[in-house]
Amino acid sequence: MKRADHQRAQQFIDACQVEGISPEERTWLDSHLSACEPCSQHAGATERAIQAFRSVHIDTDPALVQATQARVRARAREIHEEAERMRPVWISAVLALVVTVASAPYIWQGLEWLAGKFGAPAWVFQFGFFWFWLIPCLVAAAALAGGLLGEQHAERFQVK
Amino acid sequence: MSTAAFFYISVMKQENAEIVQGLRRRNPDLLDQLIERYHYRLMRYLLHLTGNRETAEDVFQETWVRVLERGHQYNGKAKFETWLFSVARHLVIDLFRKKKPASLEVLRGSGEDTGPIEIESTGQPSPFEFAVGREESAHIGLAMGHLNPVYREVLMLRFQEELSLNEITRVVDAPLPTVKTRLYRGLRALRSRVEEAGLESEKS
Repeated sequence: MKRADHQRAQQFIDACQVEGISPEERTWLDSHLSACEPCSQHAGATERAIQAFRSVHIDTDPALVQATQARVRARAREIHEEAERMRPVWISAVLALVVTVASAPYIWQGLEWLAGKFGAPAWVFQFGFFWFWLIPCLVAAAALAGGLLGEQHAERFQVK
Repeated sequence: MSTAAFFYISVMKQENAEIVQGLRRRNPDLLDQLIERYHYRLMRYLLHLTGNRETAEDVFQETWVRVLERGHQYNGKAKFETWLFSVARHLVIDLFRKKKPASLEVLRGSGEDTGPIEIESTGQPSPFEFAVGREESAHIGLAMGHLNPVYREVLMLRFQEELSLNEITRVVDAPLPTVKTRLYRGLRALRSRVEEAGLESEKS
């Protein structure tokens, strides 16, 4: 038998375990192993190594499972409470946006009328309109930032 | 496809769909069940990966908290354990990045495996050996403890978890050829370690 045959057989032995081999390769390997003692021993050693690896048992601590479950439940409660706390803020933000968008044409017309009545230049009512849009956004941003800061504060003091 | 296989796949899909829904709702009862069901396998994976019981236990807890927080990212297309191990692995990488940047290369998918790098190389028996059940022969634990963690990880996923090669690539976030290379090298290392351990136990 050639040295290349032994190398091929040993490659197939490993490949069987890692990614599988074709039926033709399997047939060739079986016939080689039946005639080659060293390669047969190599196959046995591979099988034993994998069996040994599979037989390794890990001790686990039941207290760890309970502690983890308690910690996950506590975190789930925190997340839920946080979502509840933030809900009014989100609802207010959405409402503010809707009201602002819906009333924008009337405000624009109103400011334009006022500017015309008092003879003010156009930039005055445009500036007023700009603030009309900006102030709700600033209020909503402040409320959201406050909520997020509160969340960070809560995380810092969360129960481990 | 046989009826049994079809039935198995249907059951698995149904189960995955339930997990997806439960995780999206952050259902604590489902989380309790999952922790109960997967604790042994996750702990075994973390122990293989970190080689240290304390670290493994810390990451174990963090992993489940992360599952709760990021549960919506699990889409149910892959097995739950594949996603779970992937979450755990990222946490281990983050931990090593903070503790010891050099050891991070061991777990990165990008680097080629040029040789064994031990996470803990104190010369003392690896903490992994102490984690192995007392009823197991000590020499097997010794052999496992001295394997490179990057090999131990893929060997564990292949031969204990019995994941497919594609599933392993998802967990370790490495291309298929890298996973195969690690498996072949790991198998060679395992064989020689077990043989050495066997000879030593025969001598003693």
